[in-house]
Amino acid sequence: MSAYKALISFLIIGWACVVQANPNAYITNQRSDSVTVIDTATNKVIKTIKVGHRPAGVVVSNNGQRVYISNPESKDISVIDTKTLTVIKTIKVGGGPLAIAISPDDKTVYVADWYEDSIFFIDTESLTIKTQVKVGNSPSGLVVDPKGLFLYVANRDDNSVMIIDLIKNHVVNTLKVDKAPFGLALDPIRQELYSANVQSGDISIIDLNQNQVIKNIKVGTFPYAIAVDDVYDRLFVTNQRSNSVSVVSLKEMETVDTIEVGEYPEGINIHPDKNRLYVVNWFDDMVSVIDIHTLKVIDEVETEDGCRGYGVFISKK
Amino acid sequence: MKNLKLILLGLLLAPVLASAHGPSRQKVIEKIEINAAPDKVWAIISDYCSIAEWSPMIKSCTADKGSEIGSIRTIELDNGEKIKEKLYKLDAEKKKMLYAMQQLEKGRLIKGLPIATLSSTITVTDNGGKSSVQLKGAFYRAFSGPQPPADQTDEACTEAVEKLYKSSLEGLKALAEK
Repeated sequence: MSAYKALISFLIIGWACVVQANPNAYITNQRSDSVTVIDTATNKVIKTIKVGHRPAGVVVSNNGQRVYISNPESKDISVIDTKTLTVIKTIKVGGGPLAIAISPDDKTVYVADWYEDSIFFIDTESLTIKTQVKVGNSPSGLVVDPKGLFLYVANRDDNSVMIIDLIKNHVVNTLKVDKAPFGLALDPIRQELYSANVQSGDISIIDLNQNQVIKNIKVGTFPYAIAVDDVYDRLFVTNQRSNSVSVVSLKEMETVDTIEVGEYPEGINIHPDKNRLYVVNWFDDMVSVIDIHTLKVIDEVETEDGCRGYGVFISKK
Repeated sequence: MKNLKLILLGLLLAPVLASAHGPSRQKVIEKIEINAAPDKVWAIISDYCSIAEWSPMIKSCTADKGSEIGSIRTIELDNGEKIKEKLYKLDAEKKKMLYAMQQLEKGRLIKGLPIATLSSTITVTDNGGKSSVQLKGAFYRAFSGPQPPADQTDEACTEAVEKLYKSSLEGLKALAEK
């Protein structure tokens, strides 16, 4: 790492420590129909909230006031108020809601429905469905660009990523990626989109200026979700069947390190302090906390049965 | 009549849907205490195709690359069904082995084991000179629509995997304690 970069990250970290409160992490527990709330200052569980059946997806609003949970088997979304840590509303959605994302202005929640091959748009004020957009087969990953202009959708069973224009509300482009894309992540500065391809065991890097894949990078077995580390220009990728996190350098365009975590790692988020990485291990009912500078596991937090945390589970505020 | 139509429609759709994993992943954990040294138990397990000798539900096994990482074994169940499993991890130090079913052909339903994927981890730990053996499995049911028939539900699949694991561990215990 260059001295310049070290200085920048030092400044970012220093700044973050001063103004950033330690937010909560909201981990979905698919086999116990609940959400575990972890205080990231202490890494202790402060509450367990009952939600719908088999919760999987999660997104915390950008203002930190709400958490939206997808429950594929009760076919609904649980809306949690972060002040009271209670479910304030349950919204019926489609046939199998899974991936979930939110617009930068917090006005719209996007839900990918596995059975209906659609994205549902939910208005967060009225908490009702306002639009349904048809996509490809088995949509499984969602990410919104920070300007709120485009929504990117991974269609697992079409080996493709679709781009939805959020002004016109329809699909404007479909890009082929490698086999069975699941988790998506976006780097707005590099203008790149990344898909974790479960069956081919790699990451497709999509250049958003050219709208095409520029490289597939091998990671572990059954890669699932991705976190972008903009301090060191890296990706962290959970590998479900390797019980590990692959570290991909975006400069070198290859996997440069592997971190052993628990079994069946799924959801992965970088803490807003940019010092820690949280990895949700489904089989071990446990969240691994990793120091992003040393790449060492520094803490483990127990959850309920079958934790997944698929989506943005740590509040930015 | 209406029901019959629905069933027929379901049968028509089943192969199309078989590639998707709509349902949620299930897990099974089975444990057994074996009155034999961990080294002895590990020596049996780490021979990838030895499973046919100790798992009563498995009739035969052949592996294309022995016990090397990446080796694919074909096991034959006592009902004649054949399943391919790839060896992903063989850690002699931790006495841990990880293997997973290869992706099934589209629309295939394994008789007596209606699952689509199964990854298994078997671990031997020292328990005062004796062995604790654990089998952990992660799997999806094969039926990927929202309404599976009674013999293909998550519960039915969990029962089937539990039965396979339990009988395997009991068979391993019997062989190791001989």
